[in-house]
Amino acid sequence: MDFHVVNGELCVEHIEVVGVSASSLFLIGDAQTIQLSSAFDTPPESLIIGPTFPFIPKG
Amino acid sequence: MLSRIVKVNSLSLKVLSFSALLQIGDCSYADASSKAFALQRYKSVFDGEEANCVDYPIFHLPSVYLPITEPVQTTFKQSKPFIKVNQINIVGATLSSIIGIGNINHSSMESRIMHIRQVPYKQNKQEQLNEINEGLPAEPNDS
Repeated sequence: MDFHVVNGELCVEHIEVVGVSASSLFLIGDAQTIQLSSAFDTPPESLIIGPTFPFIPKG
Repeated sequence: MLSRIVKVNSLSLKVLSFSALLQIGDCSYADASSKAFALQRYKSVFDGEEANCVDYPIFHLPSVYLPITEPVQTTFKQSKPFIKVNQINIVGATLSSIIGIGNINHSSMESRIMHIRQVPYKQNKQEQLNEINEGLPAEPNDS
C-alpha cells in the first residue's frame, strides 16, 4: 500500500485548552510515531462502604 | 522525513505539575509514564502515614503499546514549511503529560490510575444512597 501525503498551509488563530492530564500529549508539530497506553481501574469493589479505615498503613 | 517549522506567537500556561513537560523545540524521543492512586473519601480526612506501599495489579501490568511497524509505504510532501498558531491558552498540564511546540519524532506515553472511593456506612438505605449520590444532579421525578 502506498500512502502519499501533501501538507498544505496550516494556520491556526487560537487554541484553548483547559487540561492536559495523565500522560497525555498536546503537540503542535510533526511526529513519526505516537504510542499511547492507558489503564484506569475503578472496579465495583473499589466503592468501599463502611467505616473509614487507613489504607495499607506503613509497615 | 522533512518536518515543518512551528511558529507560535504567544503561549499562556498557568499550571505545570507532577512531572508535566513543556517542550519548545524539536525532540527525537519522548517516553512518559505516570502512576496514580486516587483515594476519594466522603470527608477529606487523610492520615499521612497511609498508602505508602500500595500494591495493586494495575501498577504491575506490562506496557501494552500498539506496534509501530505498519506495512504501508508513506511519502510526505510539505508544500508550506510552516505550522502557524497565533495564540495558545492552556490552564494546566499534569501527571507526565507533554505540551510540545515543535516536532517530536517518537513518543510513547503511558498512564495507570487506580481509583477508590470510601463512603461511610449508614443503617438507613435511603440515607446511604443519598450519601453516595451526594453531589450528583438530582434525577427527574417520573410521577
